[in-house]
Amino acid sequence: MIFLMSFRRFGLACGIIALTLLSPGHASPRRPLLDDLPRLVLWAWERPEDLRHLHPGVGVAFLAQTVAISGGQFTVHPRLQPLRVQAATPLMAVTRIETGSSVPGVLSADAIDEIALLIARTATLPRVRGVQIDFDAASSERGFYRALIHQARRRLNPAAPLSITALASWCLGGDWLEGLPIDEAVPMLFRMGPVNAPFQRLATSPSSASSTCRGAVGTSLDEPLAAGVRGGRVYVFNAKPWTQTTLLQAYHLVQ
Amino acid sequence: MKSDLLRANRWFSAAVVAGAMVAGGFTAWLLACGPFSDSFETFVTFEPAHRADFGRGQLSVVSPQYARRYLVQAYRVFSGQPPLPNAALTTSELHADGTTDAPLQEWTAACRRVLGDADLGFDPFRRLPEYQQFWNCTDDGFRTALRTLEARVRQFGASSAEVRGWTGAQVAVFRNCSEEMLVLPEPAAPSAHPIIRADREYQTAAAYFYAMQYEEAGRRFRAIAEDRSSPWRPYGRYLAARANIRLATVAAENRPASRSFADAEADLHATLDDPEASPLHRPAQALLDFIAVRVRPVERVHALSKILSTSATVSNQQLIDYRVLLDRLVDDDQARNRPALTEGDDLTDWVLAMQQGAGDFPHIEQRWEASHSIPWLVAALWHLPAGHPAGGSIVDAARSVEKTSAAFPTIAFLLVRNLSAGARRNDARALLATLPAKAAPGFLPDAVNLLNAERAMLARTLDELLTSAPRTIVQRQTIDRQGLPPDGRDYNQPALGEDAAVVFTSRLPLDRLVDAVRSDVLPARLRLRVAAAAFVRAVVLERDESARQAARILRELAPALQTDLERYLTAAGADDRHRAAVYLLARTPGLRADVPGGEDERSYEAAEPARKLDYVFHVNWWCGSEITRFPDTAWMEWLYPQRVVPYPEFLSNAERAAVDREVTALVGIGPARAYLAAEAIKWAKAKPDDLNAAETLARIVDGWRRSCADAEPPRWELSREAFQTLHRLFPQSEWAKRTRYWYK
Repeated sequence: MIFLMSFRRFGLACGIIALTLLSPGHASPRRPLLDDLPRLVLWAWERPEDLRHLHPGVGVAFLAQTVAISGGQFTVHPRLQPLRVQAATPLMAVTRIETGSSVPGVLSADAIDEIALLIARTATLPRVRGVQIDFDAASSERGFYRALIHQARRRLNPAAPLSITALASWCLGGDWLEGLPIDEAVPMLFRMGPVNAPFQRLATSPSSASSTCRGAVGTSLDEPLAAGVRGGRVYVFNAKPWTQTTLLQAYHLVQ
Repeated sequence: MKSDLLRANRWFSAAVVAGAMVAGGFTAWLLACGPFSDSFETFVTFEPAHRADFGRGQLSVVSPQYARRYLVQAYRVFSGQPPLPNAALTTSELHADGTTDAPLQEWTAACRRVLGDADLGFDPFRRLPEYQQFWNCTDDGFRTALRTLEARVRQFGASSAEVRGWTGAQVAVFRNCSEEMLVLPEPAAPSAHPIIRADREYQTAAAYFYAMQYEEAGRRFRAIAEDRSSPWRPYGRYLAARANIRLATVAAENRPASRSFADAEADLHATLDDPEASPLHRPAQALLDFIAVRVRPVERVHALSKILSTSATVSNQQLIDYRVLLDRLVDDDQARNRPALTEGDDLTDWVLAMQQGAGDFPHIEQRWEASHSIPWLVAALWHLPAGHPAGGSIVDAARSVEKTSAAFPTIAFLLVRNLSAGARRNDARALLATLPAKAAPGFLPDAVNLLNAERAMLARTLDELLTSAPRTIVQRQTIDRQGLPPDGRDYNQPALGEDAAVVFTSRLPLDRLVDAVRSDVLPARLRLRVAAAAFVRAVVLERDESARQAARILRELAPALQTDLERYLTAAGADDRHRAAVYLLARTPGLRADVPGGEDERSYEAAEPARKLDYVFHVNWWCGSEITRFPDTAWMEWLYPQRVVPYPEFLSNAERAAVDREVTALVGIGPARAYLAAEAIKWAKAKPDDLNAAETLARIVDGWRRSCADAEPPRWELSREAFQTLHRLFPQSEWAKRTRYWYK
C-alpha cells in the first residue's frame, strides 16, 4: 500500500511536469480575437500607406510607434505617416523597440511599466484587434524583454491578443519563448543572410519550431517563401509602399 | 480487486512517466539547438568595412555599390577635397539628433516648482486622422518656455503673482499640444506689467499654433512682429513662417501648399534681414532649406551637391537631404529626372553613373574625355566593357596615377582586373607584383583581400594559388544588426577566399589537391579544410593511394580523427580501407567533398571537422550541388562576371580533363547521405558480423533527416533499407536498439 501511494504521488508529479512542458506557452489562455485575425496580414511600416483597396480577408499590422531605449531612458516616436484602410480591415498595432548598443537592463520597473502602458494603449486605437511587439532582443536583453511582455500582458485588456515578432533562432534554438504570456510568435524569415538560410525551413515545416512559433510566419516580398503551404497566419513585409502589383504578389504567397 | 487497482494505477503512472519523458526529450531537443550564425566578410560591397579609416580619407577600394554618402566621400577625396568624417557614419549615427525628453522634463519640473503638483497633462505629440501623429510641441518650445520663466522669476520673484500667472498661461498653451479643442490662456489684465501683457499676446498666438489654427496663429505672430514694444517682436516673422510651414505640411486645409511655402519663405527672409533676430538666423536658414527640399527638389540637389563637393564641412542634415532627395527623384533604372539632376552637377552625375553600371559607359566615357578627372577615371575603369576601343587610353591614364593618390588602391585593383580581362595577364601580374600582399599604408586589409583574389585568379603555379588563397576577415555581419564592425575581438585567423575555394572544389584534379595539402604553404586551419576534402573525394572516387596520402596528412592536422584514421591506414586491404573510410565519414558529419570558402561564426570556431550532427543548420556532410555552385559573394562577379571560375593556368589539358571527369563523377554520386547509406548497406551485407557496419547504418539513418540533398528524387528508400538492414542483420546490437525509426 505504501508502495502504491508513493507511486501515485510520483505519477501525479510526472503528470504535472508533462502537462506543464507540453502545454504551449505554459497556460497562456488562448484569446479568440487572435483566431479572428485573417490568414494574411500585411506589415505597414514607416511610410504613408493607402490600403483602402485591400481584399476583404486581409489584415494589416501597422507600425504604431517606436520606443527607443538608450542609457537607461526611453523615448517614444509615434507613427508619423497616414495609414488609409477600409473600416472593415482588421488591424494590429505594432510597437517596435530599438535599443541601439545600450543595454536596457538598467531601465527601472516604472519605466518598463510606462512602456507596457504605451503598448497597451495602441490596442485602443480604432479597429485595432491586437498588438504586436517587434524587438530583435539580443541575449543580454531578454530579461528586460521578458519583464516588458509580462507587464504589457497585465496592462492589456485580457481579451486582446499579444503577438511578438521573433528571430528564427528563438523558434528553434532555445527555450526562452516558453512561459511568455504571448498568443503568437512570428518568426521573421527574411533579411537573414545566406549563412542562416537553413532557418527558412521553418516556413514550410512549422513542426520543427517551438509551439509558440507554429501559428504564424513572417516573410517579405523581395525574399518570398512558400509560406502558404504550412497553414497558419502569414505576415508579409514590403520594403516599398504597397501597390496593386505588390498586393497581388502578397495574395499569391498564401495561395 | 486490490491487485487490479494496483495494476491499473501502475499503467496510469507508467503512461504519465512516458509522457513526461517525451516532453523532457522535446525540451532537451530544443535546448540542444544553437544560435544564429554570423557571417564574416573579407570585403563588403555596400559600405566601407574600415569605417574609421574611410572617415579619414583612406578609401581602400571604392565599390560602385556603396551607399550614396560613401560615394560622395569618394568623389570629394578623389577630387582633392578634405574628407568628411560624418560621411562615414552609419545610418543610425547619421540620423541621431540627440533628441531626448530632457527639455520636456525640465519644463515639467520647473512648472511644478511654481504651481505645485498641478496636473500638466499633455503629450508633445498630437493625433491626426488615419493613425498618424506628429511632433507638435518640440524641444525648442520647452526651452523657450524655460528661459522665459527663469527671466520672469528673476524680474518678479518666484512666488509672485506675475510668475504664477505666466506659468498657468503657459500650461494652457501646452495643453494644445495634444488636446483636440483649443485651450486659450486667460487674458492679461489691462493693468498688468507691459512685459506680462506682451507675453500673453505671444502665448495666445502660440496656443493657436499648437491647436493647429495656423492662419490665426500666423496673423497674431505677424502682429507681434509689428509691435516695437514687445520683446517677442524678432520672433514674430519666424513663427509666422513656422505657422505657414505647418499649414502646408500638417493641416488638411484647402490652401495650396505652394502658397503657404511661399508666404513662409517671405517671412523667413524677413527674419534673416532683421539684425535683432540674429539668434534665429540659423534655424531660419534651416527652414528655408526644408522648404527648398519640398518645393524645388532638383534645385536643392544641385545646391547640396555643391556644398557636399566643395565645403570644408557639411552637416549631417545636408548628407541626409541629399540621400533622401536622390532616393525620391531617382528610379531604380535612373530614367526619371536623370538629365535634370546631372546637368551641370558633376558630383550627382558621377554618383549616378557609378551606380548605373556598364550600361552607362558611353556617358562615362564622354565625361572622362571631357574632364580627365580621377573620379571619372575610376568610373570608367569600373564599367569599361571588355574589348572597348577606349580601353587602351583609359588603362594608360590609370597607369599614370600616383601611388600617393587616395584613388590608387581602387585604380590598382581595377587595372589588374581590366588587364587580365583584356588578355594582358602578364602585365596584370607585373603590376600585382608591385602591390602589397599584406596590409600596408593606403592598402587596408579589404583591399589586399581583393588583390589576393586577383593573384589567385592569375596564379601560374599551385604555390601561387596557395599563397594567395588565405584572406583577412574585415567585418562580422550579425543577423539582427547587420554590418557591425568586428565586435572588439580579434578575428585574426585566416579565412579561405570564396574564389580559391571554388578552384579547390571544382577546378583542381585530386592529385593537385593532394599536392596542395602536402605543401605547408596554406595555414594549418585552411590546409585541414582542403585535406579533408581531398580525403573524402579520394574515398568517394575510390582512389586508394590518394586517399591514403590525404589521410596521413589529415591525421596530423585533426587529432580528433586520429583513431579512425589509424584504423583506416592500418586496414588489411583496399576493401577494408574503404569500409574504414565509410565508417569514419559516418562518424564525422563535418567531412565534406567540397572545400567551403568564406567563414561564418560556426566554421570560424570549429578547429576540426564536426563529429556530431548539426541539429540546427543541418549542415552535415555535403548536399551535392556545392561541387559546381558559384558563390553568392557580390565581389566575386567583379572578377568573374560570367559566374564561372576558369581552370588555373598551370593545369595541363590532361589535368583539366581529369578535373572534368572527377567533378562529373562527384555530381553523379549525389548527396552524401545517399552515398553513405548505399555503402553501409553493401558493407553490412558483406560483413554481417561487423558491428561497425551496424553503427554506420544507425548513424546514417539518424543523420538522414539532418542532412541535405539537392538531387531529385530524394531516394528516401535508402534510409528505409538502411534501417531494415540494421534491424535484420544486427537485431540485438545496441545500434539497432537505439535506432527506432527511419526518416524520409
